[in-house]
Amino acid sequence: MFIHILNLKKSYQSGVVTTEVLKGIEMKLEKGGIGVILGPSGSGKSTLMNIIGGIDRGDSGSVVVDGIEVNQLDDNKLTTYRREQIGFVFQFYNLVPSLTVSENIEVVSHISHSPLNMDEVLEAVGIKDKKHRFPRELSGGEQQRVSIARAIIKNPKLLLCDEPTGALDYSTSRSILQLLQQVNEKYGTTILMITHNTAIAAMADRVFKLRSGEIVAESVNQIPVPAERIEW
Amino acid sequence: MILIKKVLRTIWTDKAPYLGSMFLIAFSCMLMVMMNLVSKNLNNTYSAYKSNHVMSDVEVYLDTELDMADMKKRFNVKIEQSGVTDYSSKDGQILRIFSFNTQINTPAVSSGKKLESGEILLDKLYAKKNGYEIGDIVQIAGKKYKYAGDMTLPNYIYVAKSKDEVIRDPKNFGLAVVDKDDFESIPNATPFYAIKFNNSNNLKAQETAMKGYLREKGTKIIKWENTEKNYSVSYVLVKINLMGKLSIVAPSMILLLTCVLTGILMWRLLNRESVIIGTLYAQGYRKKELMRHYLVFPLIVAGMGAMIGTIAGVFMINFLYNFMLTTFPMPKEPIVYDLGILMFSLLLPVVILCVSTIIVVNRMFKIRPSQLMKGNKKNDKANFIERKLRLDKFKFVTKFQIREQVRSLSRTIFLLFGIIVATMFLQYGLTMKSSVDYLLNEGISKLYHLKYEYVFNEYKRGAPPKGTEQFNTMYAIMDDEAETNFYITGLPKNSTRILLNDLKGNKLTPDKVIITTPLAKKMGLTIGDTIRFYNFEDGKKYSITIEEIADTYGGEFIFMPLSELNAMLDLPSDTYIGIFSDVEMTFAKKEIKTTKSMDAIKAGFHSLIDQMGIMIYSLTISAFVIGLVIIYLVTGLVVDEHKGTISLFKVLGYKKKEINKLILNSNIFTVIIGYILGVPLLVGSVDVMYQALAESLPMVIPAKLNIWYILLGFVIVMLTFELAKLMSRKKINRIAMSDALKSGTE
Repeated sequence: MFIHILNLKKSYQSGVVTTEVLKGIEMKLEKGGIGVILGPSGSGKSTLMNIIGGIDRGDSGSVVVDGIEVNQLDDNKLTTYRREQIGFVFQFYNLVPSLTVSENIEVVSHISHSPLNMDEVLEAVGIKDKKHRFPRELSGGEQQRVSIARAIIKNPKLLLCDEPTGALDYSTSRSILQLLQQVNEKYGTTILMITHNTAIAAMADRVFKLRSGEIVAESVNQIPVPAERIEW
Repeated sequence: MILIKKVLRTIWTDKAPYLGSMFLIAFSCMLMVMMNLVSKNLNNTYSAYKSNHVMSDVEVYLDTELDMADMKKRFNVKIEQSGVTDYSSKDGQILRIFSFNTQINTPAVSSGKKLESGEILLDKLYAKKNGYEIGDIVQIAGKKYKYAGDMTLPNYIYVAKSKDEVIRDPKNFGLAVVDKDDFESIPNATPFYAIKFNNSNNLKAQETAMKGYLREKGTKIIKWENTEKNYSVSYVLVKINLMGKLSIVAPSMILLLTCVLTGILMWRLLNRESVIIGTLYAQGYRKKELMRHYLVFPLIVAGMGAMIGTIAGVFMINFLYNFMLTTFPMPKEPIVYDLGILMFSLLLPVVILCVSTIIVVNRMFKIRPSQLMKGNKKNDKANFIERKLRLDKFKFVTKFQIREQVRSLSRTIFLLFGIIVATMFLQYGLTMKSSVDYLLNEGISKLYHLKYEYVFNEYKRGAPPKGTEQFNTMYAIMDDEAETNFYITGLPKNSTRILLNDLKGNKLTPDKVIITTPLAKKMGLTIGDTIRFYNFEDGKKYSITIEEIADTYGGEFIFMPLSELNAMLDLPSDTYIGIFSDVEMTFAKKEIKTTKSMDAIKAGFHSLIDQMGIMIYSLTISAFVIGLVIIYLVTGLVVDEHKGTISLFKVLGYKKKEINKLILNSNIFTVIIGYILGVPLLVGSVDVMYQALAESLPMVIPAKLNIWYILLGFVIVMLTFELAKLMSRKKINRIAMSDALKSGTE
């Protein structure tokens, strides 16, 4: 298994109040697969993804990603883990406004051991002609493409996408999902996506439904639907 | 109003920039109040001294006695006969003794008692440095005088031995006053007349008329000295005026910096609070009410800063005033605290900062509330420079740092201006030291190859004493508004004592008419120009044509062949008035008019450099603090503006060192450019200041800054930068990765 999570628990202390965010999560995803985590606000999706991405740590349990026990890594090793293994795609793109498209992608290639070719990636995400533009000069969909290009330039083993279509309209969202599927196919990148949008689950190999810090349902799609056929 | 709590909390949460602004305002107000009031009080003190102790308009040295009654009647003047003599009291120590005047230039007794026969008054610093206590006996020319008290003289405020020795040396030179009867018993005294015109209008014309009358009568004017143009008085006036000017320039620069900083702070605050502003707007708050709210920020910052600075300035006045009176001894007057200046200092920062805040807030109010409530993203637009920059060939780190500088131009301009100001403060003292060093090494030492210069009372003829070189001089006065005067020196054509080079560095021999660079600059002369001037001695008009310009800052002279000067003055060709010598020589006192020791002149410059030490250190510390505050504030702004980016970098796997390098080093180019611009700007400003000082100094000082000081300054600025970076690291470490996940930067 590429991702193997066992009995993961996480709680936050706020004054005298303790909030249990994850209550013993069990989860598996195979290498090269696409996983979708569905759930309402406050269900713990982001916390789970943060722990898998090495941004946060669980209180107990085991989180193994490609053989690495993420929950046991110290700060330095977590940094190296994020740097080498993980690509992030955010809902609001998180591009650096003062840098051009190509420079935003360089933010990641600059610290990668063996990054992919910049032009090839720009070509793959369909924004080669906009490499000298600033984020403000791009549409939301184009900005998300830059965000995806930035994430895949280092050829990560795992691509974590936090509501990648949450700020986009219907047709742009579909094109972004298509792009993610293409990345998965072309580079063999494992993708884990969190979303509110249940329709997106159709394109995943595995779907996890989260509610109040627990996985309440897990399903496997034998034949995932191509993104261009997804409708909502 | 509930919103006032919000203001105080905002300031408290983000203390550093607000405290930094407050510090800069306080510093500028302190400088303004202190320097301005001290300059004003010194001016008052000088005026009071001039009037209470009847400062002469001119001091006249003649070859015959003056019919004072006739002169008083004829020219409507007060005249008092006075006398002066230099007495060597100990080894090389000179006490300049004046006779006690009762009508003009009356001494001001600062301690002790009124002068009686057999008593002496001394200048306080000389007495202190030489261990004299009131009541002690001072022996002069074999006669004992009782040290009765301390005094100052209105015609000798800055107690330097001569214009050439620049700096006062109270251990070896001092002033004294004795009773007129006692004065007559002191040998080798020179009599002179102190003259005060009753009508103070058009003094120049009155002086010209008097000079003309004396010459007509056949009286030889040995020396005609305008008291306020005399170095001992003019230097004081120049220093007071300079302080007055600096009291405006230095605080204005800092205040301007603070304005830009506050503008940036307010813009940043408003951007951050755009949602709140939009919401308040939507809830029915009026623009006026919101404006009032945001004006509380500059009111608190500028109000507190101005108050602290003004109070600190008032406390410092007494200290600086007394210090200045030690350098320029005058009777102390009660300090006047000019309410206008105090109010100006209290209100100016408040007004300026409020105005800049109003401008910034009004810009924000132009945005629609609905837009504001979404969070104003207008600032994310790439500006013209950003769009034009193509940085493909650079490494990523360089690209990022350049992009950061052009992203926020106001921030970059603030930093640039701040570094320029800090550099100017830092290098001000060092430039003065460099200039004096240059003058000493490149000017005096390269020009004069002699140890002593002796000028005789009467012309001599024939060969000079063995081992010496003869010269003749003419004291020339231009018939211009400023009555520019200079010496024309006649030298043997094979002179080995005065060595000159032309502007290309080629050696010049004094077989031509050669003008020194400072005089050529002052008079706007070039090769081939002919000047017409009066000989001070005989009042006749002469003219000469400039043939060469000598590249030296050793003084304002025209050199020409001795034989030609003698021919011009209608003297035999082997006539001379003085000699240059490498060894000390002894002459009968009556024979010698002046003696100049090059070592003493150089020692004067060295003590000037030594005295600059305190000023240089305090300026360096001030510059370091200002620089540190500015760089720290800007670095803080950069960190705040990049919270999202820093957080993103952390998420993407950047290490601490890499983030620090990218974010904190992004200002390095601006700091370096600021320093590079600051150096020539300072040297230019100091040059302008020296031009102003040239009136009272014996020579034009070239504004120079030694390369080593430039490097030292650079090291200090970079150390300041590193320290500011170190202080900002904690701020970066505190930024959580969750910030990037919560909100997008775009």
